[in-house]
Amino acid sequence: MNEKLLEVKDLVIHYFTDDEEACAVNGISFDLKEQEVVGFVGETGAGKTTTALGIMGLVPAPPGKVLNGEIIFEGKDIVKLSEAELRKIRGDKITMIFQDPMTSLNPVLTVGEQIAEVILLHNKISRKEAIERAKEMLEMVGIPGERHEEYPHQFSGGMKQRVVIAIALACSPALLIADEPTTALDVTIQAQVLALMKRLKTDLKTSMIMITHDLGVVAEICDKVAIIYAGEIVEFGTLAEIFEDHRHPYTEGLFNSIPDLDVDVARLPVIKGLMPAPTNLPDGCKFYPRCPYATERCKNENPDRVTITDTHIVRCHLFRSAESIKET
Amino acid sequence: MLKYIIKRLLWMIPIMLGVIIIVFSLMYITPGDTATILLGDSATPQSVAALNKKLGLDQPYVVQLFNYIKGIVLHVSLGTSYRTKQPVLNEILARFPNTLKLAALAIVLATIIGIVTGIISAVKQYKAADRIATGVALFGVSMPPFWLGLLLILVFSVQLNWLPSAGVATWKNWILPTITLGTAVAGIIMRMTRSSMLDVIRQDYIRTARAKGQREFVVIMKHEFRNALIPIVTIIGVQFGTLMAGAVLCENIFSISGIGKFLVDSINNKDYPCVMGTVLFVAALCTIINLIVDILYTFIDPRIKSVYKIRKRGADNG
Repeated sequence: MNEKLLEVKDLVIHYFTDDEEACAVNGISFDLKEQEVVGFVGETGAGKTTTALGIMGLVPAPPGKVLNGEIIFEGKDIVKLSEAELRKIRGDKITMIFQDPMTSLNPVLTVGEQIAEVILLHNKISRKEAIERAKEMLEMVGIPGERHEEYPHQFSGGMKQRVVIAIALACSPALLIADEPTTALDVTIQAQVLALMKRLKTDLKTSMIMITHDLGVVAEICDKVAIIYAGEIVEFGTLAEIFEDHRHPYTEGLFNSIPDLDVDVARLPVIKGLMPAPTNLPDGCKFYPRCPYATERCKNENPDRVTITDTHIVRCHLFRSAESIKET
Repeated sequence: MLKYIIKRLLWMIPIMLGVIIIVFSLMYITPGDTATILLGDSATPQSVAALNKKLGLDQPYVVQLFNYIKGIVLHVSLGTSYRTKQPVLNEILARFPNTLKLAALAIVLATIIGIVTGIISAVKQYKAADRIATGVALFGVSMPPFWLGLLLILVFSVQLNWLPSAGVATWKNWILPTITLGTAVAGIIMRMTRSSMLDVIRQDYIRTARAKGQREFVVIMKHEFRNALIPIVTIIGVQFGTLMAGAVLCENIFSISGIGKFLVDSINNKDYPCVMGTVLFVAALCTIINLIVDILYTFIDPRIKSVYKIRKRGADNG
């Protein structure tokens, strides 16, 4: 039952421009088991979306290039697959919900057509049957099926995002990547879309990668959490481990910056400084310029993965495997 | 939709009225006495005055303008040619098929070449194919049609003796004029297609289409091209209108009896009714082409159509 669905090993993706090299993803490794939902949390530009595009085989090339690593999905390495083989997986077994529903739908095609398109691509059925299936998908995400003949501009933002979700789910994917599915929506619609995604998790048992910078969304829906900083997973663990027993100074900073209802403070604590530009990453630990616990070692040596428990991994010099006492 | 078309057709009335007044006024203030020109230098003042009276040219400006408009509305007449004494409209209609045929051939050629190379250019941006195509397009746009026409005649008619250089006798006669006229337009359409496609290629919904596992060719044609079509159709419409009137040089070089050549001949002979009639005719054609282009928009982009439709259901109820 709980078998590994996806295994990403040491993935490195860089973007090349004429005079610069942007190190977007720098050695990301993680596993995803069936029916599991893992949250990718990190700042804008941390490499979350690029990792997702890597898994889809959709890294824009040029300028993007997968330099290293394996993405094993159902026993096959996605990095090595041909374009034709990738097309069979995309939209069928791995699907993606993009960040901005306003621009993710083609304005000149009806929503029914757009859902039917992906169904027709991966199933041997007639156009008419595909439209019928598209109507069912619309009903599933809470839009009346008869609206399939309408165009995206006739729907509100939240409904468009549901159409995008319907496209992503139309072929019952094994893995759904949701790239900030609620960021572009207002709060009440966010709640609706989130409730829908939770229902998918319990009803359809789809594995998901949930990309977000909202820890509230993570708490709602994820089983495991990866904290991503400057193209690396700095901490990875179960929801409880990350929320109750986080270790990495960056994770600590993230949680400290969440307002507490019981404590009245004039200013929220923030993590000082900015994330380094991906074109100019520091040697050693990527977080050391902003880290309150930084030492000389952090400046020169990039920390390895330290295993706290079977499921809890952290990348920081402050920790040693299987022990959990801070050295300083 | 029908309501919209009728509304647009009604709008043509004030537009044409404006064109009539402008053209008529320009002709009125042009120096040179018509009767003197028609009768020649040897005319006596008496005969000039008599002719002016006969043509109604002794009347005040407003009366002349009113009479001209009355002629168009009541008798569907654009007046009589001073030179041939034939109704102007007949003269125009006799020549119009040649102009229409030439413009249509040129626009079809230009559209096919322009769109195909434009798409290839956009998809292969900054690759060799793109550089070559944009280079050739720049050459096409920059090349004056009369120069290109003369070169083509020199090579294919004079040197190689493959194709005729004048007249409209056989289908072979149309090849060189079509190329001459179509080259610049092909360049313009190619550049518009390329930039419009490049705009669309960066859109999120193209990524959505790829994420569905769609083949690249289908992504380009079904998702990119359809969205890039509005500016392309606009430019084709504008160019078609221009070709109707602007084939003057081409018609002259290849001795094709069309309305462009007719217009130039009329101007040279101070045949004012013919000049005005031709300008009005072309202006009417251009507004009709614009209307057709606007109607085409609604088939290309459903967002435009919904503006004209009064929807029974609210657009947003979610």
